[in-house]
Order: sequence, then C-alpha cells, then structure tokens
Amino acid sequence: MESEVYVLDTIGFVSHLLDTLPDKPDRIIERARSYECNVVVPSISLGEAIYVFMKAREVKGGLIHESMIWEMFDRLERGAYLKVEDLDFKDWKRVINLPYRDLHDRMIVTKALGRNATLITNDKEIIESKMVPTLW
Amino acid sequence: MSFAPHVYWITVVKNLMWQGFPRKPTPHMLRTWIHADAGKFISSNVRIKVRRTRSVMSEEVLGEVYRSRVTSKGQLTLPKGLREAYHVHEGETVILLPVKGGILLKHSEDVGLSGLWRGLCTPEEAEKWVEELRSRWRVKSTSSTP
Repeated sequence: MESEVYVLDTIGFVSHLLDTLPDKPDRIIERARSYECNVVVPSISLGEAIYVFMKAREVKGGLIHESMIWEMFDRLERGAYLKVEDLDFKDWKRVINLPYRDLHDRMIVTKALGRNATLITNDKEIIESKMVPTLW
Repeated sequence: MSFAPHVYWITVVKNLMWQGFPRKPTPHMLRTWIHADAGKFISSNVRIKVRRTRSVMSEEVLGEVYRSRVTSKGQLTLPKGLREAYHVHEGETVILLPVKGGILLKHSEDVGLSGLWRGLCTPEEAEKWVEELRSRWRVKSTSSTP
C-alpha cells in the first residue's frame, strides 16, 4: 500500500528552509521524517528556491555565504524525507489545460495531480481553483 | 522466482555506455554478451561488469544490481558504487526499513532542512522575489486572470 503523498510548492519549500512553515505543513514534514508519508518537491520549486537564494545574495551581498546553498543540496541528496521530482511527459500534457496564470503554478499543480497528492501551498489562486486538495 | 531480464539488459547497456562503448548494442549483441560470464572480457576494451541476478523485482531498479554475502554475524558489505552514489559514509548510522519489496536502507543522521536558511530573507521577501520571477513567464490570456 502506498503511503500518503504531499507535494510542497516553492513558498512551502522556502518556508521550510527559513523555518517559517505554519503548524499544519510543519507536522506533515515531521511525519515525512518519520517515514509516515512522502513529501515531493517539484524540480521547478527547487529552481525557484535557488532564485530566492541568489536574490538574497544580490540584496544582502557577502552576508549570505555560498555554503548555505551547497549544504541544502547535500542534505537533499543524502536525506530521504524530501524527494525532488521532475515532470514526466503526462504531467507536461496536463499543464496545457490548467487554469493558472503562472506556468510555474501549472507545473507544481500537475505534479500534485500526477502523484495524486495533497498540495502544500498558500497560493490563493490554486486553493480557490479546487483542482487539487490543498493544505497550509 | 521470476527473472527480470530487462533490468539485467539495461544494466549492461548503462555499463557499456559508461565505459565509452562506441555504439548502441543491438539486441543480438546483448543476448550474446548476457550469456558470457560476468567479468569476462568480451572485446579488448569492454568488460561486462555486472553480475547475473535472478530475483523478484517489485521495486523500480535505478542502477547496477549487486550481490553481497551475509556473514555469520549478519554483516554484509555495501558495495562501493552504492556507497558513493548514495553518500553513505564510514561510521554513519543507517536505518533499515522493512518494505513491500524487501529491506530499504536510509540515512538516519540529521539531514533536516528546517531552518537551514534561517535569516536569509523574510518570507515576504521570498514571496516577492518568486512573484517577480514568475511575472516574466505569465500567460496573460487565461480565464482565471483576475
């Protein structure tokens, strides 16, 4: 029997890194760390998180050490509780008909649909669309 | 027990590619090579490095399949290729999870990401920057445009 699957969107993933996730999603992550459920990070969200890191460095300069991003990669690679996943061809075909302005939102939602997952997001457009079960 | 030939074949192809084999092997070539004993040279510069494995495969196999003998003390060697691929270090404690297809080995040391970027920026800044990035990719003519 496959366990519950959650997809973590960009703001969810960055909030986890900043330790600012609200209680509900934070509990899901804790459960994933105990192997009680699976949490997937779409690769686009990893890409956007990298962009956030680069912007922070641009704004704050030398205060942000590069090692922070390498440590993140290292822990993602060695850890088991967050799994970064690409889109497959079926996911991409679904992207066309999703009703969101942002291509990135479409990519995240199609991953949640493809994995039959609950999406961890605070994005109002996605929540109101009710295309996928959401949690925040 | 059932044999999973596709797993074996893919492994062979991957190894050959990895060793810089000049062209894609034909099915006939693969069949011939598979009947050669593992470890034997099949030409002057190509060696099949995989071992034959007959097992029930219920999980998706992502790479080379290894064998390891369990000692009287229950110990076994985790092959170097797997240690390197999965960053398993000497002295590290791992956890073993019984799952449907067998035993799953995972890291148990702290690989938590929570707070790793604490102080990098505020959540509001992160949202603003993500919004800024996405605005360049936005499709303007969808029905949900506010």
